[in-house]
Amino acid sequence: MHKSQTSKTTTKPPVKEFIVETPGAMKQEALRGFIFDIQGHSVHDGPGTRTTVFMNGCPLNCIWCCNPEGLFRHPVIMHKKSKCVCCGNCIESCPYDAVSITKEGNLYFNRGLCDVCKTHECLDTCYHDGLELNGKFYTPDELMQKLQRDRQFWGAKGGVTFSGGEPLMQSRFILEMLKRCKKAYLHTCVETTSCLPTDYYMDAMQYVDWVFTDLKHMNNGEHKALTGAGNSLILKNIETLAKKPDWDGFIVPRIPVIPNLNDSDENICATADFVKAIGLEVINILPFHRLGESKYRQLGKVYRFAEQKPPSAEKMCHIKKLIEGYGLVCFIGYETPF
Amino acid sequence: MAKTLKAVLADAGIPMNFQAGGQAPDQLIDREIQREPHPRVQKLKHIFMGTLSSASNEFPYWYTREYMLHDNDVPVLRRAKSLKTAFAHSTPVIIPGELLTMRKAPYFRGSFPMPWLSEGFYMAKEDEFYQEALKRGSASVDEHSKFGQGGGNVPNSFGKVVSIAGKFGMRQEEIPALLKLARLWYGKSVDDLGNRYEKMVPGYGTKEKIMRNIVCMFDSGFTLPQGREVINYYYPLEYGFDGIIKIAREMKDKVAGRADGDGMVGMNRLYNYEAVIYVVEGIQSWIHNYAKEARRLESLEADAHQKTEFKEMAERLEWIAHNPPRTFIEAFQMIETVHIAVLNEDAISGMSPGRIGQVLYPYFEQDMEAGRITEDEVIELLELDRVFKTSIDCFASVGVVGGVLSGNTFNTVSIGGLDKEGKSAVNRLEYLILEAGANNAMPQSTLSLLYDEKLPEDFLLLAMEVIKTGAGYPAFMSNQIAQEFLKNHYGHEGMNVEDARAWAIGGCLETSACTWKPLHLNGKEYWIPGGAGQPTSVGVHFVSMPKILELTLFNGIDQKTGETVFAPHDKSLDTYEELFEQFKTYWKEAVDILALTNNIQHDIWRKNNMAVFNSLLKPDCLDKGHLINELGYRYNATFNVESAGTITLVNAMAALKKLVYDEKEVNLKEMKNALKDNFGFKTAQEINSFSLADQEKREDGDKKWDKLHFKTLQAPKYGNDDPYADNILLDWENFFCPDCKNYESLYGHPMYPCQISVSTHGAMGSATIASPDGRLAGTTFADASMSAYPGTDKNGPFALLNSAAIWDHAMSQNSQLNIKIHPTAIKGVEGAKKLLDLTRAYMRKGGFHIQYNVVDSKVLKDAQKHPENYRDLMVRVAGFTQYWVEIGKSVQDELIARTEYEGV
Repeated sequence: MHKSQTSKTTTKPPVKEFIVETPGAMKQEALRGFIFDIQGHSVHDGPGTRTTVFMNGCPLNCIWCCNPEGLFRHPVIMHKKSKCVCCGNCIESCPYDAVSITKEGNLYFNRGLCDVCKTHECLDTCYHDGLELNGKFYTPDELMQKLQRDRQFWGAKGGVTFSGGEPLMQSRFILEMLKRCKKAYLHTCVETTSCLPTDYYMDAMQYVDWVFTDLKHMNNGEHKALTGAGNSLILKNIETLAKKPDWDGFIVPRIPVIPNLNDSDENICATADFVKAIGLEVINILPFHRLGESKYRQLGKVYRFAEQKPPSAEKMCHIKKLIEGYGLVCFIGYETPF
Repeated sequence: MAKTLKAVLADAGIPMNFQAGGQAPDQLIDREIQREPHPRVQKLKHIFMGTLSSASNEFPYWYTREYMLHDNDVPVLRRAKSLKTAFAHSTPVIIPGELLTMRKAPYFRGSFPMPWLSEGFYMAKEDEFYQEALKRGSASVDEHSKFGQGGGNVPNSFGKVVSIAGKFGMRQEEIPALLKLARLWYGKSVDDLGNRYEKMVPGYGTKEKIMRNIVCMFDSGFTLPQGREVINYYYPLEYGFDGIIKIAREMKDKVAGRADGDGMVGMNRLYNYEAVIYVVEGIQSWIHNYAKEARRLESLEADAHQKTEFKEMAERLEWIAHNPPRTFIEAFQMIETVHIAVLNEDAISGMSPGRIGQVLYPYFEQDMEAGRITEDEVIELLELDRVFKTSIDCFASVGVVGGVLSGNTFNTVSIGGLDKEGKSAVNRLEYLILEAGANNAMPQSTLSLLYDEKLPEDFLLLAMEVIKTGAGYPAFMSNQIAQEFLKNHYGHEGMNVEDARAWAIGGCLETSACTWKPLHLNGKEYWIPGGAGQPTSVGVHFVSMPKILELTLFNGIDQKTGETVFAPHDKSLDTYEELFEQFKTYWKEAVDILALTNNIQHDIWRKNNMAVFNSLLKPDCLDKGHLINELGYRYNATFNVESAGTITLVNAMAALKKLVYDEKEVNLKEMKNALKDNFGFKTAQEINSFSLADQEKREDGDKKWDKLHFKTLQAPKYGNDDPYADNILLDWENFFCPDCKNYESLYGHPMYPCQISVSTHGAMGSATIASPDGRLAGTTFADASMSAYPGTDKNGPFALLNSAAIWDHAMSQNSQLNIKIHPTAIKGVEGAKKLLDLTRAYMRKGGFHIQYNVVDSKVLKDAQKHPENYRDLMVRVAGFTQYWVEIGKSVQDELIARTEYEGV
C-alpha cells in the first residue's frame, strides 16, 4: 500500500514547480536535469564528433556571455522578432499583463513578470513561431537514450560534451550522468568554469576524460569585475586537478580573447606562466564572437558587445606567438588537431 | 597524472608535429582545398563556359532520309541502316588542345532532336499537332517546368538563334528543315504510334488525366527510352570493332535459317547479327571521318607541338576504328567513342560509364610499368574527360530535360566497391579519378562511391577532401544494401553474389545490374565490371504522392484544375486507417494504368526503335543473337515504379493523424477548406518563389487559418527521430516496396520501387495545392526520398539519419538523402574524418545513400541575385551536381531553404 503511494508520487512530479539543484542540495524530487540545448554532430567540443549537452545554471556572470539563456534556472520565453507579426494574441492571453505594445509598434515583455511565469499561456496563442520556451527537463534515462542513439554516429573518437552554463552546477544530475556515461563506455568531456567547491569538483572529474576550462583573467580583481567572481578558487581547482596523481584525463585551458578586456600581453603571459607552472602543455585561444547577440534580444536583455568586433587575425597570431614563447602549444579557435 | 598532449594525439593517430616555441604563421591559414586543372584543360573549360547548348539537324536528316528508303525491310535492319548512314555522315569537329575527341553533333556542346521518338514538342506552339499533344496531357508538364536562365541554356530566342525545347539554340535557317522532319514523323513516332495503341487500355482516360494534372511526370517510352543504366565497354576493348564484325559474321553462319528450339524469335538472330554489322560499320566510318579531320588539321597546323598531337590523334583513331586498344590513351579514346555512339543511337539521359577506374586499370597498370605514361598525364586525361562528359547535352522535351533532369545527363562514374572475389576493388587509378575530380570540378562525371567496410581508409578520406571542394561529389552508396537488393530482385534471373559485386550506379543513383568479363592485355587477364541489364527508371515515372493525397481528400477531384482524375470514392474518411487505405487504392489505380500504358509505349519502341549498338555491347546479346527487345540482356527485370514527394506525404499524413484523427483539433472538412484557401496565402507562382519561407499572406486574407496553419507546421515531422512521423514512413515503405511486385513490365518481370526525386519535386510541387503538413500551394516538395522537408529537421543530423534508417533500404533500388553542410563544419583534416564518421555511421545503420552540399546559403542567395558572378558555382541537387545558373528557380529556392548543418 505504502509502496504504491510512493510510486504514484514519483511518476507524477509536480508539473509547475521547477527545481534546479545547486551543489550540496539534496532534494527528494525525481532527478531531472535542466537543459537548454542538445546539439548532435558537434565537431569543435572535444575529440571526434560529439553530442553537446548545454546545461543551465552558472556561478559566473561574464559580461560577454554568448549563452545568456543558460543563466536561467527555469524555462524562459524567448521572443523572436524576425518571426513575430505583432498580432497581439500574446498580449490578450497573458494573465499577468506582462506583454504590451510600444509606441513604435514593437512587443515589450516585462521581464520581471515574464521570467518568473510558470504557466506560459502566451505560447499556445502564438501562431507564427514568434515565441519559444527555452529549456527542458530530462531524466537521466531520457538523456542517456539520446546519447545512446547519437553514439552510433560519432565515430570511434567521439563522445558527449557537457557544456553550459556551468555543466557541473546541477550536481546530483551531472554526477549521475557522468557515472552512467562511464558505465556505458562513453567518452566524456566538460566545458567548465572550474568555479566550484574543490571537493565536489575533484569528485566529478573522476568521471571526466577531457576538461576544457576557461582562464578568463589572471588578475583576481579584473576577474571579479568581468565575471562577478574572483579567480582564486578556479586556479586552485585547475592546479589540483592537473597535479592529481591518479587522474589520467586531459586538460585544455582556454582563453576567450575579449578585445581590450583580457588580451593584454601582460595577462596572456601571466596565463601562460600559470599553465606552464602547473605542468600543462596547451592553451586554446578563442576569439570573441557576437553569435549570442540575437539571444539577448530574444530575452529582452541588452548586449553590451553589439558593436565589438572580433579580435583581428594578426592579434590572435600575436597571442599565439607569445604563448608559444613559453614552450606551450597554442591552438587558435577551432583549428585544433582533435 | 593528467594526459599529455602527445599521448592524446597518439591515441587519435596523429603525429606530434606542432612546433612548440617555433615560428607561428603570420596569417590564419585557410586550409580548404582549391585546385586548378592543367592549363590545357583550363583552356577547353573556358570555351565550355562560354558555349551555349546548340542543336543540329544533321543526324536526324540522314537518319530520316535512309529510314524512308527502307519501308520494305525488317524493322531491325531498317533501323540499323538508318543509324549507319547517320553516323557515317556526321561532320567531325576537333577542338585544338583536346586529346580525347569525338562529339554528339558538330558543336562544342551540341546535340540533336530525334523525331522518330517524339516529334510534337518542338513543333511551333500554334501548330495543330502541338495543340493535339497538349490535349494528350504530355505537354502540360512543360508548363510547370522552367529551366535555369543562365549558363549554357538558351531559354529564349535571340538574333538568328531560335530557342528549342527551352534549352537549345538552333540556327534560324535550320528551323524549316526541323519542322519538315518533324512532320515526316507525324503519326509514325514512338510517341504517336504508342499513343494509338495505349488508348486501347481500358481506363486510358484516367491516364490522360493523370498526365494532364501532373499526378505523374512523364512517359519514358518516347522521351528517354534508355539510360539510367551502366554501359559496357568490354567487347570493343577486348575484340575491337573488326573483331565484333567477325563474331557477328561467324554467328550469322551458325544461325541462318535455324530456330534452335525457339519458334518465336529464334529466327530473328540472323537479322540481328546483320544489323550489328551495319551499325558497327557506320561507327567505323564515323571514327575514320574524325581521323581524316585530324589529318586535315595536322596539315594546316604551323605549331610543331600541336601538329604532333593531331598526328597522334589521327593514328589513335585509325587504330581503334578496327583494333582493340593497346595503351591507356587508346583505351580512353575507345570508351569515349563508344559512349558518344550509344548516346547518339537513342534519346538517353543517364548512360553511366560505371566503374571506369577498374575498366581502364589494365592499360594504366601496363603503361605505368612500361613507363609509357606518367600519373600527371593520366590526371590530365581524366580532367579532360570531365570537360568531354560535361559538354554532352541530352535533347528531349522541356518537361523531361528541365523539369526532371535540370539539364543533367548523369554520366555517373562509380568508384570503390568490391572485386569479383569480394576484395576491395579500389586501385591507384581511382585515387587519380578523385584527384582529377577535385582539380577540375565540373558536373560530369558525377562520382558515386560504392561504400564498403573493406575500402581503404585513405581512399575514403580523400573522397571527403573532394567533397570539401564543394563539387557535390562523390556521393556515398552502400555496397552491401545494393548487393542485397540485386540478389533479391534479380535472383530469378540468376543474379548471384559474384554478379551482384559488379554493380554500379546507372543514372543518378539507380542501382544497376552488371557482370564481370575477362579482358586480356598482353597475355594478362583482368576481370572488368560492366553493365548487363536493361535501362532502369523506365516504366512508371515519378508518381506524385502529395497529389494523390490531394485527390484522396477531395474525392478524386484535382483542386487546381477542377478535373475529376479518379472515380469518386464517396467515403467519409472517418478514420486515419480509412484515409490511408483510400490513398493506397488511388495509388494502385494510378500505378496500374501507368504501367499498362507505358508497357505499350516501350513495346512500340522495341518493335521499331530497338537499340542495336547499346545492345551488342551488353552481355549476353552478342552470344545469344538477341538484342534488348528480345531479352538479349542478362538482366531484364529493370522496370520500376518511381515515387516523388515521399516526405511531404509522410508529414502530411502525420499532421492529419495528429490534428484530425488523434486529437480532433480540427475536423476534416475544416482542414480541406484551409487547404483550398491555401491557409490564407498567395500562391507560389504569384510571388515567384517556391520556398515555403518566402510565401506571403494575401492582403485580403483574414486570420482565420493562422492557428490551424501553425498547428500543421508544429505537427510531428519526419527527420526528428520522432516515431509518430517516422512510423508512417515505415508503414508506407512496407506497403509500397512489396506492392511494386504486383505490376508486370512488358518483358514479363515484376517491377520494384525507385525512390529518387531528381528535380520533379519542383514541378510537381508547383502543380499541387497546399498540403496538411503546412506546405503551401505551388511550393516545392521535400527533395529526394529521405531528406527532411527544409527547416523541419530541428534536432540535427543524427536524428535525421536515425529517422531515415527506420526501414529496410534493401527493399528498394535506392533511397536518397541530401544534406547541406556549412563549410566550417568540416574544416581541416579532422573535419574530413568527422564527415567520414557521420557517413559511415549512416551506412552501418542501413542507409543506402547520402550526399553533401558543402556551401554557405548566403552564397546561394547572392548567386540568385547576381548569377553573372557565379557561372561556375556548382551545387548538388538530387543525385547529381549541376551548375547553379542552369537549374530552374523552384529547385534553386528549395536548395537555399534546405536545413544547413553548421559545426557547433
